[in-house]
Amino acid sequence: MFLEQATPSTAPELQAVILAGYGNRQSCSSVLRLYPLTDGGAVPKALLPVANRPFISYQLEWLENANIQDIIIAAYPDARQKISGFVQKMYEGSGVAKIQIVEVPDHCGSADALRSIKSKIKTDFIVISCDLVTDIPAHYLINSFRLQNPAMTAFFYDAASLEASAERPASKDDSQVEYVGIDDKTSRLMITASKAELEDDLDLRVSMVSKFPVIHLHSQLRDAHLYIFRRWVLELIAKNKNITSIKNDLVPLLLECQHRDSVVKREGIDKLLAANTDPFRAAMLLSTSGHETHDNTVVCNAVVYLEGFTARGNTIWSYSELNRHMVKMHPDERIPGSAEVSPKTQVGQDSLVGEGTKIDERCSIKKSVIGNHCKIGSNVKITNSIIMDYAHVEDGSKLEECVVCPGAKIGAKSQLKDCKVGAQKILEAETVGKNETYADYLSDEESA
Amino acid sequence: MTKNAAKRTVVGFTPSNAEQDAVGSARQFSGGVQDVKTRGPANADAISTSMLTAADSKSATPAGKRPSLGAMRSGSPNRKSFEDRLFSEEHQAQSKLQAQRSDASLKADPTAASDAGADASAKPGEPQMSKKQLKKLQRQQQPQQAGGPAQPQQGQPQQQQQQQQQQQQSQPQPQQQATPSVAEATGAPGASGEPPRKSQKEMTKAERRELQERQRAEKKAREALGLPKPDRSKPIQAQAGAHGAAAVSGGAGAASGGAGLSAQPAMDLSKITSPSAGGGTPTMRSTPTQMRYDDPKRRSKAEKAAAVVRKPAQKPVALFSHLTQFERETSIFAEAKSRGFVHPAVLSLGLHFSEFTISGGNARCMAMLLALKKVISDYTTPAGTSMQRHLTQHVSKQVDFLSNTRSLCASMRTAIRHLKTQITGLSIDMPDEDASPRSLEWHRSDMDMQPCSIAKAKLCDDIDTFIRDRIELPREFIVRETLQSEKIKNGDVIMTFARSSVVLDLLLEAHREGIQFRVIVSDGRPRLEGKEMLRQLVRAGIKCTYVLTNALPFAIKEATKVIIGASAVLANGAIMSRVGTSVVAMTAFNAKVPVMVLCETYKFSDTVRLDSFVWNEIGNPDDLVDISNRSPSERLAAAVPIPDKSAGAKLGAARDWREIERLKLLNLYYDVTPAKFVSMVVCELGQVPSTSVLTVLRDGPEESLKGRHF
Repeated sequence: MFLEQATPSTAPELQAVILAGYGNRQSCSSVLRLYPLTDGGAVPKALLPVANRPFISYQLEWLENANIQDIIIAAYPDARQKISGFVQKMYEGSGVAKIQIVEVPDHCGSADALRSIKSKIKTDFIVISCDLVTDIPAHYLINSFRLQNPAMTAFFYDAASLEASAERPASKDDSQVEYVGIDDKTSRLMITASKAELEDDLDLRVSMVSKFPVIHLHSQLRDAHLYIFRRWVLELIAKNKNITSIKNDLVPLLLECQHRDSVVKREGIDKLLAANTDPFRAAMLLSTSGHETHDNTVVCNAVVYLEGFTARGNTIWSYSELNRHMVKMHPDERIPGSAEVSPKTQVGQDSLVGEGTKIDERCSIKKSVIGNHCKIGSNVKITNSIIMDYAHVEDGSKLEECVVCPGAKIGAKSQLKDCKVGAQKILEAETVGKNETYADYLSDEESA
Repeated sequence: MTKNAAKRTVVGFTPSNAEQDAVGSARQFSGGVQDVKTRGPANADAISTSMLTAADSKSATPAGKRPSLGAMRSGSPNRKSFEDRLFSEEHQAQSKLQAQRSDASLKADPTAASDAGADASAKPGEPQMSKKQLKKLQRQQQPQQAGGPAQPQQGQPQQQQQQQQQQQQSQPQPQQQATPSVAEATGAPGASGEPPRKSQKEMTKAERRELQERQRAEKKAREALGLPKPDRSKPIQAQAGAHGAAAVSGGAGAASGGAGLSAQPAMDLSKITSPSAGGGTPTMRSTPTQMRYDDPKRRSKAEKAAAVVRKPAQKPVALFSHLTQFERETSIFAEAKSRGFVHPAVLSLGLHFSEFTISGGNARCMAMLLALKKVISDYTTPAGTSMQRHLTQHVSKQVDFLSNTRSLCASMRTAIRHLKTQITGLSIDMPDEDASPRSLEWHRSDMDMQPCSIAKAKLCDDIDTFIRDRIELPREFIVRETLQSEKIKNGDVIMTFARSSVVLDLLLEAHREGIQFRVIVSDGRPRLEGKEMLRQLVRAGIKCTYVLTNALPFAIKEATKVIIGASAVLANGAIMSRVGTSVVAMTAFNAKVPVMVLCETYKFSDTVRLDSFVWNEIGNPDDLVDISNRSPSERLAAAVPIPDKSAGAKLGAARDWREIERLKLLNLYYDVTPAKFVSMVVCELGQVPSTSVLTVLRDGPEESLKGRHF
């Protein structure tokens, strides 16, 4: 009894910030990656369904498993209402965690968002992007952060886990390729560079090579956009207004600090470090295992997790791939009781049907996710597709590798392959399309 | 019972034949010797056993006689010269001094203690403690005379206890006398003259009832006398303890082994929780559950109470089944049942412990204190409780969590005991802070204004003082003491084992002073801590040789001295240290190379262990399989997955040892170096024989240090 009373008095070790962006207005390189799925303010990225559960519920669940009790969701003004609606009404967490939803200015970068909520972050903090689905045990990351006292711990996953699984056109996601340099002995992160931004060569600084002569350069690893930062990094962000994005500004800066003392001095990081020494420093010096603390140096840690499944749904391709994977992993029944599925319809084992959905006879649904309250006519073939809530597919249509957004209506006898249908879009009967994007907004920017 | 005992008198502190011959004079043993009638073949054991009892009943007879130093000596030839130098002139003086001390404390006269301090301060640079005591003695000749006659009476209860202990060993039904002795020593009436007691199972119903009545009467009498209420579990514990001792001594046939178990002071936290509760009751303690893990009842009980659910070892080694053995799992931190009440600093410390990024007695103790400081400064007293009570509980939970990651070492126990005493002592400073709601409000508002309330600030201050006075300054002093007494000379070849922070400091300092010497670092798998030692020595520019323990017989021929650190110095003079130390000490002993142990007094323990089996810590057997030969700091903590897949694959071949049915691996962390291998211990009080632990503990290192200027 006493202990329960005492619990609130102990300061939490970590807070978490979920960055809930739009998905198609990201300040980083590839704009419109998820267009038209998150377009028109209909669905913020955080609420895009993955196996009929919004993205954000995966992160919330992961954080709660990690025993993080103070979660801040940084959302754009438009998305805020919707996300808070979801968190309050639909999300069933353990109830222990305190979830706040905070509005951040529109069109700002991830580091800007952190700067604007600085007053709410009191401890070391986890930053997680809202399109990440991972099953890495949280304590792997947190333990690494605890043990090596780094300024930053970043998490890298093996892209092969998703990319190799499907016959993916090689050209499609070239911008995604990243080069990650890690010093294996100390698991310190030295280099991150994305292929899209590089021209021809990857420059290495002499100061780095002389300090860390053995660096293992990976091309298969992807940054999960899941970081744990020390609190003082926030001071750095607050002080230096030029840092707008975590990935593009903050991380490279911290990496550079590992080997360039001049940068450390210029940014005033040495003072921040001096004020935040390892609490166990004195004890480490006595330790028989000879571990020494890194005095007044910035340490960036990389945690590489090759087993398990991790993926980001930040492009349409990876989003649908993620859906397929999560459906496979889906533990519950695939067709809920409230759905009306005609007995003459085939729903494959690798598909999922949402609640209140009606499917007429002689349909065939394979490797697909059908959302809640959809209406599927008779004789419809759906393969490898995602049909979101309240969509309507009329008789005799054939959908292959399509994404149909909420409320869209696809006319009878349409034949669509590799198409995206925006929210509320109504397609006429007998539409035939291949690799098209149908949406009401920005229709002039259809991706070819 | 007294009559009965008189016939089979066993003598408190009888020197063995060898010792008498060595010293050549019996009068030095003025300790509680009354009568020597029988001296069985197991005499050596008898002595050690009685010593154990003495150690254990320390709190029981606060004014009682202490064992004289000489009685504890072993007759090793190597030690003789040292001991002679140390004892022969002053020994008598010392024992008299002890008598005087006890007398002084009887009168509740604090001057004796402060005298000691003042005396020490008078000559801070004096290298040998004994000389100082001699001086003091000369000054105090007068009171000592008065103190003399008081001796026998004070010695009495203790002596009876020793008899008790002796009978436990020599009689076929040892548990018969155990409980009466407790009662008698407490001074409860009606306890003496009882018929021998059966164990409860053997009794008839009527007998059981009678026993119950008697216990109730005892309790009433005790209350009437105003004695402190004994721990509710005491009588049962005492029984269990005696029982356990009997079982072990009967089963193993090694009487001494049994004694070692029964005399073991409680290792569990209950002891630490009530540091000052000793009062006047004798402390016959049961064997801690940690060491009786093969008993299914106690095991399940302990498992229920544990803060962290851990998977028991799948292939435990049968010989060590009495110790806790767990599978190593990193997820214990994720699955900690302890969610909520373990402070984050303690959580990460636990991780540091289990991953061995912080290891070694000094480092762990210091880290723990730093973490607890954080705990205390983040602590707010919940409404309706008092800080003294609740904070003690709160700290216990943290410590309990830490003990689940690795068992606590002697240094940590001392520190925790000290801290808890400080917490319970707070009430005197702030008498009614928590009693009235008004003052509670004041407490709150005070806390809002400044991060630490006065009490918390005081505790943090106490922790800092402890770190400074018991860990850091002693280390400096040991280094200076050793150098001043010229233990390292030009041309010396010093052998050391693994890595000890004090030894490292000493060697580095000696090098800085320009002494030309060489170091042989001996080391053992799987921890290979010697590599870290080697790295730092070489970096400082000291000539080094690195050998593994299998090359010792060859390497020892070059060595002129062996200097090692210790995890604990036990009451019987044995050294508990990193596994492998014992081999080094033994090799050195055989090669007639002196062995010096550097150890701060806060690692001195009143525990007695005669071998490494009684208590030990069992590590992860997979470490033995890892043949990568990396030094610990190069080894990535297992909590973090290795990015390089091939590094994991190297272990592959032997990884599946678990599938080999008849193969079991044992990875021990500690071993016990018998006192006879150790030439001397250097602590902050000076150079002492390792057997003088009890003296140091009794004199209270705090007090003797008080006036000392480092």
